[in-house]
Amino acid sequence: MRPLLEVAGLVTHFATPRGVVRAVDGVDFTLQAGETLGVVGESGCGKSVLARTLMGLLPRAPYTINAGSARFMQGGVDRDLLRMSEVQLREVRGRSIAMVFQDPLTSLNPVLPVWRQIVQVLQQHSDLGRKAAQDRAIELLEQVNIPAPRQRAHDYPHQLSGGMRQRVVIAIALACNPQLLIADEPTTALDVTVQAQILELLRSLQVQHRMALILISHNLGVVAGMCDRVAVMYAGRIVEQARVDALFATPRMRYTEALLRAIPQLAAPSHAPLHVIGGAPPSLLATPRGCRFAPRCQYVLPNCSSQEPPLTAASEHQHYACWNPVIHAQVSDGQVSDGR
Amino acid sequence: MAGSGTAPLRDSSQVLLRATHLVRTYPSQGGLRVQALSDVSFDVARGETLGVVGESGCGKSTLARSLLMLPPPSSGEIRFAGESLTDKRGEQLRQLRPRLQMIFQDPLASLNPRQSVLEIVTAPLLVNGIGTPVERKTRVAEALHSVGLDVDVVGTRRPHELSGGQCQRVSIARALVLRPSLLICDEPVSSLDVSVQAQVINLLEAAKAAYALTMLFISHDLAVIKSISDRVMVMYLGKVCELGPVASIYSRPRHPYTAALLEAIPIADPELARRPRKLPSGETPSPLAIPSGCRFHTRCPKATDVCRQREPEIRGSEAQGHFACHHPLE
Repeated sequence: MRPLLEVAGLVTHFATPRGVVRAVDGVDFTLQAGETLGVVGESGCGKSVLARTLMGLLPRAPYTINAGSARFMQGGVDRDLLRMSEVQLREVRGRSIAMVFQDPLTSLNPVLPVWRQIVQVLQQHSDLGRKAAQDRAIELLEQVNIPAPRQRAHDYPHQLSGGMRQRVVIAIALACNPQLLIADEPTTALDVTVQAQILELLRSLQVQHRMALILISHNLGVVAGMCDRVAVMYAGRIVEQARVDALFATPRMRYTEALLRAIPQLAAPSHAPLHVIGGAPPSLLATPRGCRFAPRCQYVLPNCSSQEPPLTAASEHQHYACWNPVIHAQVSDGQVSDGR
Repeated sequence: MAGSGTAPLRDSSQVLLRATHLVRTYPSQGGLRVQALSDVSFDVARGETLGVVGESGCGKSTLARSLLMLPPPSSGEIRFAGESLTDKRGEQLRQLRPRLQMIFQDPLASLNPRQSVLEIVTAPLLVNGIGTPVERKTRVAEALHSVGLDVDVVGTRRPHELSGGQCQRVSIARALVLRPSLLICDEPVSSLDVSVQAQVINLLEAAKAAYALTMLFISHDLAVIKSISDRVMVMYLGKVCELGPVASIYSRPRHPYTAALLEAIPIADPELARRPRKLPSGETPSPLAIPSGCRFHTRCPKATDVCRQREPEIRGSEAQGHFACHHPLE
């Protein structure tokens, strides 16, 4: 089946007075219709820039240097999101591809009641009349489980709690039944009980709307529960990509392994020392030669810092870029058990 | 929810910090008052780490500030090493301050952007008139060394030249340079990446041993709290829900709110993370409209009439923990 989204050799560099910032530096992935891809990584790994590049939300040349392609299938035709004009992008954004940002307060207009903000999107992308659009707005608020949607619709964003605001943002994103939703840290600003509710909501809406989802998060726990596949980013590159079960059970790339081990575990006893990744991620102004993780890697080999490791297949569903990968006992290459 | 009462207080010479009936109210619009802390009592023994966990608006940051008298609580008493802090003002308080230090959440915002690392870490010594210039230099180098920074490398740098993790190390060094007895950490790792978070937690554990510290560690992350604490206090809307040893609270929570928090954590294990979960409905109510009786009753699956009418007293035992609930979990 042709994928919904096919990203190849995607590059986003920023020209700054201090030099070229290589925020996204050669990223490849595909996404099938209805599938959920998690993108994880630490601050500055390029995950948010990746999302904004796909949505065409970054400044254009000469401030931003783009290369590669992002082919998006729409109505049987595939078009490159990176080559679209602003007018064409407006047709796609909000209709076929929608986005949810981290902070719901700054993504809503503070001086409009929430129903007007939903109606705006509906009228931009369809020829619904005023009354029909209003009814549809209430319906959408109901779909995202906002209690008493008819009353809440007249509230302004500041009158709603953080969780309710994020529900409104999701309602706006879903207004035109997009084929792809990009959610950039959608629950990071929320409390843990509310986070769980919003993730639950996203999951059920995704099934209902048969929508593909790119979920960007620094939280490996969030990704574990939501995604079919996960891509791990480091310093502008995808360093490992796998089915979710394989990634967590048998990570191959040393950075993935280190990241998984650095999370404090609920099952571990108190005061057990945590596994640490020494140092800090590299500056994107001067990314290291060879493997970008090499300066922090415990298992570094001589050629790690001179040659960049290629993406290698551990199985059909797991690819990693590492010269000295983790070897898992019992599981040989090509038979990674991912429980599916 | 609730948690009035002083049942969890221990009667021991080992107690370093004791807070009794702490209340902190803030004026709000229309003459209303917000009760950010409502009758909170607890203690921390010497050498112990008490973790304080809860969601936004539970009063955990207000608690940290009240303990340092920044500003003082509206009522209630704080005793530190046998002395009452709440009776002291001005100079008397200033003399005690070096023994109580704090680390804040945002490392960049809590450092003076115009000072070098050396100046930042020396400042507490100057303010308190400690040591000669030579002694100060040694102590600063020592404090920086204990957080894994080399004074010759970072001494002249300013905060904007450091990473988030390094800034947090500098603020820990600034607290340690006074050799405090109590270190209050308010979400010290929340703005850090996972890999750096682990570095800072390990470092705090090492500093605790090296400086014989007692710690109050505030976080919204239950896994971080478990990793670093001996005892844990769960708060909701300005009240204590549950307080006790880490092992018993995590394996056998008695308060439905604690259970809900544990249930809601996203676990980095796909199989566990996909399991169906019992999540509490709704969100924390506004502190301007505090529910009657137990404050958690609006979201609690076990709530009955008694919960709506009467606030539960805190009860339990020291070994298994204290909780404030009419219908505790078994």
